[in-house]
Amino acid sequence: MGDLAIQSDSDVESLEFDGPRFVEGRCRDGKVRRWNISTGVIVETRGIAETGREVRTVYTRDKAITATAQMPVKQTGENIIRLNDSPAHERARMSAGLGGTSIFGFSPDGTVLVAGSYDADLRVWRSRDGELLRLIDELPGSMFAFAFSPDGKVLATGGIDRIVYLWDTRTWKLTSQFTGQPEMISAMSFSPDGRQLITGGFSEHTVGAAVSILFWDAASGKVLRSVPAPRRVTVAVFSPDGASAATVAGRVIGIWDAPRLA
Amino acid sequence: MSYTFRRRELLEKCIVRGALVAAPPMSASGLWALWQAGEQQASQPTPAEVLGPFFRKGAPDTPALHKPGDPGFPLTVVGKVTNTGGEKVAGAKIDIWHANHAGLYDVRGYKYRAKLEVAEASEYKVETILPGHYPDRPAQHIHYMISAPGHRTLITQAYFATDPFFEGDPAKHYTKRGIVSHSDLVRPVRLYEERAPHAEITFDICLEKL
Repeated sequence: MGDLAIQSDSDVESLEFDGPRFVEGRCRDGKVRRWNISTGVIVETRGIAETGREVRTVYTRDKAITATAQMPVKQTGENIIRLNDSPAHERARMSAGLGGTSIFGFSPDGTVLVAGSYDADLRVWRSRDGELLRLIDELPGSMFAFAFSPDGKVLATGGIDRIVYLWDTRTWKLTSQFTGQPEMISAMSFSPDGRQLITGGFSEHTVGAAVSILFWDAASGKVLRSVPAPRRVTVAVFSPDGASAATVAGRVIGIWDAPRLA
Repeated sequence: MSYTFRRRELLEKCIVRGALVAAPPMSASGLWALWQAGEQQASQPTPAEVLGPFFRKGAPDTPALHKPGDPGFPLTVVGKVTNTGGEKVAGAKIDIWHANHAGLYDVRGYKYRAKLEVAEASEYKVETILPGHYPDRPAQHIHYMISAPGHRTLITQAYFATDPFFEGDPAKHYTKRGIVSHSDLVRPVRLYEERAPHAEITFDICLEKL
């Protein structure tokens, strides 16, 4: 199909594939835009009510449980994450490190919640009752991106030290480390078949410096493809059929052909 | 209330607090009031600041953050660690980290990073360089994370009154671009010319007692 760069009128804050041919992004100007990834043409623009990033919420796939965290814009004290089954009913309230929550999200089956804090700890809780299953405090720096493999067996994280860490989600032990990203890592996802990983960079020079986007063989850690991005990458996702991937760097959406593994 | 300090002692204490920069003609009672105001302020916890993304665990316990020949203007940072109860805090741990002269953080190693164990005297001193301007947060700053048993962990930053970012008037411009949370965090800079030129700031830390 070929690679394509799409220029948005407003910074893209989140982006998802809608089938293999379209991506839909929520933009800073409060609008949701939908693009055709073969032509780069906007096919729909609609308004949304909710903007602002002080507090972020993530959901389990069945939307039965939500987790809410204060984002680090002006966060100076203890991080608190709340687990709710409805806005009125709180399941648990967890202490989650200091200095802001850098990443957080549920496993694919919704049974665990993972969060990273800017004081360089990772925590894993049971979603049902908020019980802390594992505190991972052996990392040297904070993680800015994470992804669960589609089968939920592997958690990948990456951050300040440019290393991709892979964790076994049964034991929560570190199983591998991949090096090769020339910058800090700020976005990542697994391919739908779990065999590839895509990561996006964040230069320590400045958010606005050019970085790279890497496609990895998730088994061997071999870099399969490297492509450029004009600034910090905030989203990197594969299409549902695994044939392409989309990335976000400010206003620029990159559409890339995914490498093929034999 | 009795004046147990002589004028000279009060003068010295006020200067140490930063309440006075020179010795003007002032009565002992005036100095006493100034010192009391300083004491009041000293029992307030140091204002907090954002942690930022560049913290790294495991920094070495060393007072020398730079090596001879490193580029950058030499800087000495001194301070003491007290608490809101007015007591010295022994056994505090101070993580300190900042960008190099060009505004770049070491994200894989421990250049310009230290974790100090503060001794009984509750005073600390580090030798480093003036940090450069990190483009996304363009006021020179030093990051701190201070923990001590029985105290709330404090995350904060020290800034420099001489930084061009403050346009010569930190009291007026510290709110610029929403970077600095509190004017107290902007520290006066002393410059020394004898032998090798160097700068010095005092950054006292007051922890909230739990």
